[in-house]
Amino acid sequence: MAKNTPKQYAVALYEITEKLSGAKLSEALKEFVTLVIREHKTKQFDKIIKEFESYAKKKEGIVEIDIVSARELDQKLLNKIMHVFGKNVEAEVTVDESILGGIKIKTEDKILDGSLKTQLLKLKESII
Amino acid sequence: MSINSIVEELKKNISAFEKQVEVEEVGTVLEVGDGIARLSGLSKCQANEMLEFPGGTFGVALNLEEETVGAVLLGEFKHIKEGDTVKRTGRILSVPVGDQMIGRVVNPLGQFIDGGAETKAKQFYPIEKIAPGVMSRQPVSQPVQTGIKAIDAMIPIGRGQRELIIGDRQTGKTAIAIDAIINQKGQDMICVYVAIGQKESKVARIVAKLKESGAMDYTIVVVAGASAPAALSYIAPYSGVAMAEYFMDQGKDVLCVYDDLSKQAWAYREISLLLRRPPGREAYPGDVFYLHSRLLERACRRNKEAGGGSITALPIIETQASDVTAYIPTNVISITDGQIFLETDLFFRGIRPALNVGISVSRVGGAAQTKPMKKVAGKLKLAMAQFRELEAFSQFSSDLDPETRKQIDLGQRLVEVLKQPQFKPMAVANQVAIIYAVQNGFANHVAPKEMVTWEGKFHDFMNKSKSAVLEKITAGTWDETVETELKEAITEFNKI
Repeated sequence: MAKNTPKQYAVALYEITEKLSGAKLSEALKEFVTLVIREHKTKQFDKIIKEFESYAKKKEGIVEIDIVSARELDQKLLNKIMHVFGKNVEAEVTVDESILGGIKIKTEDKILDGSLKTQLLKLKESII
Repeated sequence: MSINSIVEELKKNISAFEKQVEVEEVGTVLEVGDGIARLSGLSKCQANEMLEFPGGTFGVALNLEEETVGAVLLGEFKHIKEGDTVKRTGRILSVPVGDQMIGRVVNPLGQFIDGGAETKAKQFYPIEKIAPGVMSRQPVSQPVQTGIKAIDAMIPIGRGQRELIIGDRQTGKTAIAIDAIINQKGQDMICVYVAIGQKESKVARIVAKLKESGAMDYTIVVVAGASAPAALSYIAPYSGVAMAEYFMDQGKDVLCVYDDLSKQAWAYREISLLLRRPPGREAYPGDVFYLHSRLLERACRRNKEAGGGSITALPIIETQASDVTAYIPTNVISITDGQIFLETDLFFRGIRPALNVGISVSRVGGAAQTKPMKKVAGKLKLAMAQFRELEAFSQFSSDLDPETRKQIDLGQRLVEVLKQPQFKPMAVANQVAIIYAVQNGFANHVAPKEMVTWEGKFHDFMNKSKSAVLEKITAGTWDETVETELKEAITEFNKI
């Protein structure tokens, strides 16, 4: 059988635990942990948890984005940016001065690059 | 004044520049190693699409799976680590094509590696393309003159043909291909030499030789050296043929040499196993036949309506201990329009090129031979076949009847005449003249060992004093007058 990826474990975990609570939930979790141990995947627990988080968020309609900006963003602007991506947005902001200005937003499988650095590079390309 | 105008121009350029938000689709590296990478994300990735890894390394997406994408890396991959971001480029793997490539040494991505000037390419061709269909093809009708007597006479190659050169290591496979390239001078051909998994020193020697003989003026050399990643060896022949297709689209004739395809098959096997594709016979993946058939099918002669032009392919296969029944040799033999067999024991007996004329064939090339060559070559094949049968008896020379004796003598002289040193391609007219002379008994007074010197003098004489006859033969005329003139010329030479 092919190797299962951490994502497949995460999806499985989400699907079994979705509608459970209380004693049944802890029983299911116990079973899951036994499975992971039996398949020698304990090393990948970190990854499975990470994948589980992002999968659960996606299922519940939460959008995760990473914002890179040159300077600290104020809350009003941040809210405006987050509003573009939907209602339930979780944003992680990092400050990186090397992009000079503007912002760079990373969603799940896309990068929206509005940084000044990229614009200048493009201008350079268009002139030379 | 000029400074002002430059500033104005610059200002105009800058004001015309519109800022855009760049949208890029990205994925992340899950695992990397042995020249391949497994990626997650990249949900819209196309097959054979180029992917940009950090540090300017490119990769090609080969496996598109449910959760992951399997890619081969084209270049250095030490700096790539798990979690790195990979960008889609939206471009199918393609190489720069155009006239600027001629005379250059390039890697399979079309980047110059000869240290010469960088020139920007105007056009790119995808390396994978479906071969021309039935309606755009026509049978071969024009010859490719290799300049090698044995080949041009008995195993003729036509423009658009695929002729396999097969043999063990050190039997002169590359030598034949290089001689063929050198002989294309002034024949209105573009040549592409693809070196796959070859020693860089050997490639350097070949390039030097091509330069020396002036063949680099119409040749592109594509190199995936022995130290290059398997992915480059795998794509090298496809990028070579893509560059050739550009010239074919201009209506030109192109000669493509793939040296050699067994190494390409090894590289593909390596990649396939790393990508966990199921192995089959000799551990090659199931589509190893398609690997070569789709490449060689792109060699073709296109008809006028489809734009004309042709690509002639000379693939080379190296056998292990003359085993032509191995997987790759049988595959390629069945794809090509004939094969040139080279044998070790012939090579060491001093018969060079070490052609085994008995089992070498050209299935379509005969249609492309010139008339004089066709006339003399027909008898040559027969004489050689008879000689092979009687060869074993040649030791009992005293006990043989005169008829058999005569055939053995003729055979021995023909074998001598078909020997040819490397880098000495010969014009068709000279080939016809010498074969005609020997066949018709004009060299019977010469001992087989003396044939080489006699032949040298003969060509000198013909080139200097009888160029009119040679010209007629070159033009493709062959009738009684030409034959008589040739006969007279040979008799005259023998009198000296």
